Amino acid sequence: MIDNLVLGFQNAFTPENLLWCFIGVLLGTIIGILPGLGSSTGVAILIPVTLAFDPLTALIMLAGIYHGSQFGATITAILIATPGEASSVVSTLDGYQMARKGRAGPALAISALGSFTAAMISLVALMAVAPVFASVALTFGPPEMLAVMILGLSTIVVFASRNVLIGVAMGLGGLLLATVGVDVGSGTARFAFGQVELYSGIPFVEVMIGLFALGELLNQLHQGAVKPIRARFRDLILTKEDLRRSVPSTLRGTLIGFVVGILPGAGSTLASFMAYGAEKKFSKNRDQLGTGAIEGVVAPDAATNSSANMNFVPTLTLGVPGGATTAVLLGAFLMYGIQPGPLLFENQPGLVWGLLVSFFIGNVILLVLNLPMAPVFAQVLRVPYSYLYPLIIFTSIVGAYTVANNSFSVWIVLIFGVIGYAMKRLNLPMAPLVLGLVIGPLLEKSLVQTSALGDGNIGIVFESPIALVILGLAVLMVFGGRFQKKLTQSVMGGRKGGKGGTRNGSAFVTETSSVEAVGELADEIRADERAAAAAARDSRPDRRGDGPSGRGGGTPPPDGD
Amino acid sequence: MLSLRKKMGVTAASLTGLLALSSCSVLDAQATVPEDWTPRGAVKITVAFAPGGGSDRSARALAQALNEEDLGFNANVENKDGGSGAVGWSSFLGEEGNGNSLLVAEGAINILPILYDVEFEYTDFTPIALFAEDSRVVVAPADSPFEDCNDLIDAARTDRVLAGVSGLTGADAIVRTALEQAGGVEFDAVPFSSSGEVVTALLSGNVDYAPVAASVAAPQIEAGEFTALCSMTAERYDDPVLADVETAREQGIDATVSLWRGFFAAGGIDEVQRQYWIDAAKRAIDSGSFDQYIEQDMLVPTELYGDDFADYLAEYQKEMEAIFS
Repeated sequence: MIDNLVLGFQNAFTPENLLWCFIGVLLGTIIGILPGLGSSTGVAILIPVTLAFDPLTALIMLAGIYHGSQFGATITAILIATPGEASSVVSTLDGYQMARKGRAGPALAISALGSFTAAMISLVALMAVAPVFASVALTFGPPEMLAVMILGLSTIVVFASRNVLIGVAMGLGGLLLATVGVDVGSGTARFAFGQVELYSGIPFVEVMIGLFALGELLNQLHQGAVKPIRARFRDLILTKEDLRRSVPSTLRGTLIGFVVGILPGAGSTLASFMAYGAEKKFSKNRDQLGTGAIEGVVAPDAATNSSANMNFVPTLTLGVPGGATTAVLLGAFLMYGIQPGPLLFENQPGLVWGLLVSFFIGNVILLVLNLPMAPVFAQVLRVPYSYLYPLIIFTSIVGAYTVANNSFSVWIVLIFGVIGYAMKRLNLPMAPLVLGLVIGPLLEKSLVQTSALGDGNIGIVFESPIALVILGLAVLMVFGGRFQKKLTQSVMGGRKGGKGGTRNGSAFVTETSSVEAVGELADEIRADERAAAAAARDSRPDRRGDGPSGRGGGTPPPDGD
Repeated sequence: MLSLRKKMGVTAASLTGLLALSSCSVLDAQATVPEDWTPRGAVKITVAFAPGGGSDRSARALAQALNEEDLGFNANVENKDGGSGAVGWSSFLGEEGNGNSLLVAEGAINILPILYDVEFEYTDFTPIALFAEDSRVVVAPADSPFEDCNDLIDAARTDRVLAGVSGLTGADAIVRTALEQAGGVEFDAVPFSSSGEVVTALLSGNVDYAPVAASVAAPQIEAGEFTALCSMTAERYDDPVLADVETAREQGIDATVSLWRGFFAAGGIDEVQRQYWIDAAKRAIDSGSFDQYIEQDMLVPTELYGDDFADYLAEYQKEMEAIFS
């Protein structure tokens, strides 16, 4: 271990590698900021540029882009509620509310700090026991992944603060949109209307640009532009209170990202949604989530970063990509003639350890870059939105066009811009829609695979202890709050999660397979939700009335801008 | 800054490229092509898959080999991925008559039109060269009771045998069908969306066997994670690890699977242009840098040009129609 670390430092600490690591994270931050470009496309675009480099240098730079983009994606999510990557959608909820309150500086700073802490913890774990984690990942077959996806889906109840039924409906809308394209089981093209571009599904990045950036612009055209925020200097600095509140959330987020990141294909978007869900259940200040609570910013960011790092576990030890970006990186390995797989650590110790050490260096550079820059970035809010948004949309659309070289992307952006505007006018939450769209294909795939494994019987999910535990967590996610609220009503400050256990498990499998079941589920919850909503209204008169996406912040009536 | 400039550069280049190409195609259709035609400026090589994948690597090897020959033009790779290749190949229809444009393709270009309602067929493009054949090695988890492909077929007569399959239009699907037809049995397929997922399923023992690419199989077999059952090639692999793996034919199973890799020019180009590209292709494919690519990706080196390639494709199309329709 020590020998390996020394070897890694020797290889990573050359002037050339340090320089390219720096360039990588800087480029990554910019790529992350631009909503039209994600880390996977950023890495893909730059692979050809790095072909002339030494393999280690090239991989260090590409990994730098990967790490940098995680940091960058949050910046626009917080400042203008336009996430740079899917995994930052959740950061818009509380991050943007913090920015609206003039606390963009602390939001950006805590995001950087939380991401850094999560990265450090997960990197140590990655280096120390990657092979152990790899074997954990292998115990997650299709039935277990199906349970994970159901757990991810169950977080919808958390993001549908105003009305669970509407949230579930939006989530279903996302799932329905995700059915467009060639299906993995039979290879049939669904809802493609003869458009070959739709064969691979509705492109996610374009949907996000449309919903968030363009939707917001249209909304502002309707309502008149929001006044720029003039934050006072002392509001730009993190307080001790902020730091104190962030510690448990960072650790929770890191842990969740950790577990989700190890699983091949689960992705950091899911991790960030789950981390927010966990905050909503376990945080001391869970009532403030959605109104600009620092926990809601730091937990998902920590989860995203630790999951991004843990994605390297299956990538390096098994030769199986952990996520979209590591899949592209895996391709890069092959281009340099390096064969990732179980023998990579043995055959290429200099390369692997050099790369891992460069992750440390990259994250330190990112913290040094981002922490002092947080107040500077916050100044962007002084620019009137009427200038800012057109610029963002212009760069996003150009970016989206460049990636696919296709005007189809532009149409998707425009169509979803209108949908996003309509959703804002109708006060519908966007986060469940995005969640549905992200989870849809993964859910369907694991459902089809589970059914194939069980010869048409998805009941095999209940034969797996791991899947049962995860389903139990999903039950807790949906009904836990219900018991909690009841307890809170009778016993002051009572905090005990429901122990619904696996008895309710069957309800969940049907939840994924039939629309009616979800309706039933929602019906059950509805009565409680109404009471809870009423209670919330009474206790928090200043609470924002807009959807969980928190985006109405533009000019919603309660704000009175 | 660098990235922004680069992106702007790429956009600008592709925009001007588009403009230039669209005007070119109009001109080419009207004017006759001079005898000494050579491509000038930028030659775009379209790849219908994402960067880093097998097709992309072949396109980059080709671009590099062409550029090293210094033929007076600059070859660039452009990725247009989506729909298992359908997006990129459909878009290449728009290059009709343009001599300055190449397309990297593989067996799936024969299969997609059989399964889906796409606008193109391989005959819409001009076959230039086939430069390699790809096949599959059938592997099982290390602790599998199966030792060769006959064991698989025998087991399938009485029990469920689960096959991990990545994609329904690629080599994996052909292997499964070929083994089924040769043995007169049926396997239960568990569909995955990438070969990485198939490897995970094998490692965790969720499937009984799976066909995987040689370059994926070799390191896992070397590490003792996979047992090789048989190779779907006509002859054994020339590789230290895979040389011991018997072919299906050797085991008495009449099944070979090959997925060609090659490239096309646009449809409707002049004979002079077609001949130019066939000659350029020969020079590029025989170059050292291209050999390195074939070796790295563990492909079977095969070369066919022009009409020979077209005949091969016609034959291949018949085989695929027999399997997929």
